[in-house]
Amino acid sequence: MTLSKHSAANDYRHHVRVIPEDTKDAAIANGFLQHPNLDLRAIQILPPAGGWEHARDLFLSDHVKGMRNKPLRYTLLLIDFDNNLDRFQQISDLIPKDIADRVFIIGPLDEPEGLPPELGKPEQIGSRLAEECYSGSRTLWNHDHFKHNEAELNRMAASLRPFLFR
Amino acid sequence: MIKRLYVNNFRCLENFELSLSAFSSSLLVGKNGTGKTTVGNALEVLQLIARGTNRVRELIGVKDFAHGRSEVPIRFELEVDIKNVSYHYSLAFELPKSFKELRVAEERLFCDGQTIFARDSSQVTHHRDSDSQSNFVLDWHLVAMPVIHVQSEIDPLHIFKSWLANMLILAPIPQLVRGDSMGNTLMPDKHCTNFGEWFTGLLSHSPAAYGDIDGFLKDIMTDFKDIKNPVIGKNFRSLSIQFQQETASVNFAVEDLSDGEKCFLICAVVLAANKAYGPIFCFWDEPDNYISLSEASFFVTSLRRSFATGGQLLMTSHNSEGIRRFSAENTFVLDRRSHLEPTQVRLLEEIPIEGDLINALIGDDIE
Repeated sequence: MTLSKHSAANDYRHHVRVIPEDTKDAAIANGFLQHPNLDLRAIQILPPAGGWEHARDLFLSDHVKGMRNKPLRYTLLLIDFDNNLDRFQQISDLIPKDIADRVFIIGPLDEPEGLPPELGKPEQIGSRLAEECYSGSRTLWNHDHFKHNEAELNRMAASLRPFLFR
Repeated sequence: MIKRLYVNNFRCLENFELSLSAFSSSLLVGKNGTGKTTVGNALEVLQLIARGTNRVRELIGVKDFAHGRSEVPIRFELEVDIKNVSYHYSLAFELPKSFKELRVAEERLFCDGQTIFARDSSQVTHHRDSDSQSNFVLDWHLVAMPVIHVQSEIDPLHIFKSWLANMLILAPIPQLVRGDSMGNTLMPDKHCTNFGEWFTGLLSHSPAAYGDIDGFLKDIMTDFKDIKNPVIGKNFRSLSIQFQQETASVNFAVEDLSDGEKCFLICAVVLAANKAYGPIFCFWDEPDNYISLSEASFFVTSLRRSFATGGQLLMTSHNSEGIRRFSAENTFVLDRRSHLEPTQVRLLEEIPIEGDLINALIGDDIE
């Protein structure tokens, strides 16, 4: 095996690519990156897709083949549910079965703009969510705006948590 | 931490105020010529004073007046918080008619609201403590802060001056970065031409800092092995970087690394310095300028994360990946309608932008 000189989130190690729906979701992801124990080599935030449908379509058109070729790659679609939890099924029904266990769909119930101000700004929210992923606590994750992610969070804890944090 | 920077009548900065108290790291974006680098230049004037430059003409010149408007003083104000103590330094330069060289019109330092020293033209009053003060006359072409005697390491003047001197104002020119050193320093120059001295100084100050440098470089260059800094002559050292893959290895002098790899080295030392003798303030003009798109995110996030636990980072960028690693809540947009108008600064979250910031920057669509 030959390693590239500079290892990006690459083919030879577990890594997750995050497709944020928009800039607000990207800001939550940026906050997540600030966690001191996060392995920055194991995560890559891609440019905002410009809407949940674009995130879905982008994943299906550009990422499925790559995931099949790179078995250590995971993808997380970070979307707004816009108070419509059926959206989860609408997306997950389209994910090819052979990679479905490596794809996650999470996000706030409402648009980040609709989140209560007491939760903080998007990066602060992302930082708190990262800390809870690291520590295993579920205070913010159990908030009305995030608790619908529980099943996905449990899957993530099993498959992403071991390599995401040092 | 810098809480507020105010600059007036300095180049394109007129009545310019940057409030940074809420940010451990923040980003300046904007088109070329909007004043991003000038913010660093303003901070550099203050840093040079703290590092001992007190001759006004070595700090600032007639060309620095905005639009040549020399009848209005050039003013700098800096409010910082150091270990929960508040410092406020202000400095104004003027150019009286028939003068060829600027002089100090006013200079003051306050600590938690108490005057440490105050100066009007040539008259300086230094409040040594609450009971005693000294008055003296100083050439009005000299800045007072470097020449006032500090009494101890707990003297507020010493604390503020040291903090200011240790600020990192960086705009590295990789081609000028040198790994040779005749001495050591904790104060790199703006272009990092004294990188070898800075590396030597950091490890002399805190040998454990090597662990942080090593960790970062191994994360970003998987074949990085170590850095050697041997004495190769009288008081003369030279850095070399060793890379290894399986049983083969190769050495490079710093000068022979690529521009981007030199920036990796500088970043590693910034991160280690913030831990070793920080918390420090770092202004870095386009740190991601020489970095590939695949590394920019890791590079910028490493910087942001380091300063999240102490110190403060203010950087500029034109790199899409670097810009994306900041958010609307900590990105300042600088704008200027023409070279005849001053820089305006707004937080991105206050600007209505449809869609992606990068697309808005590419399309020049930020109103």
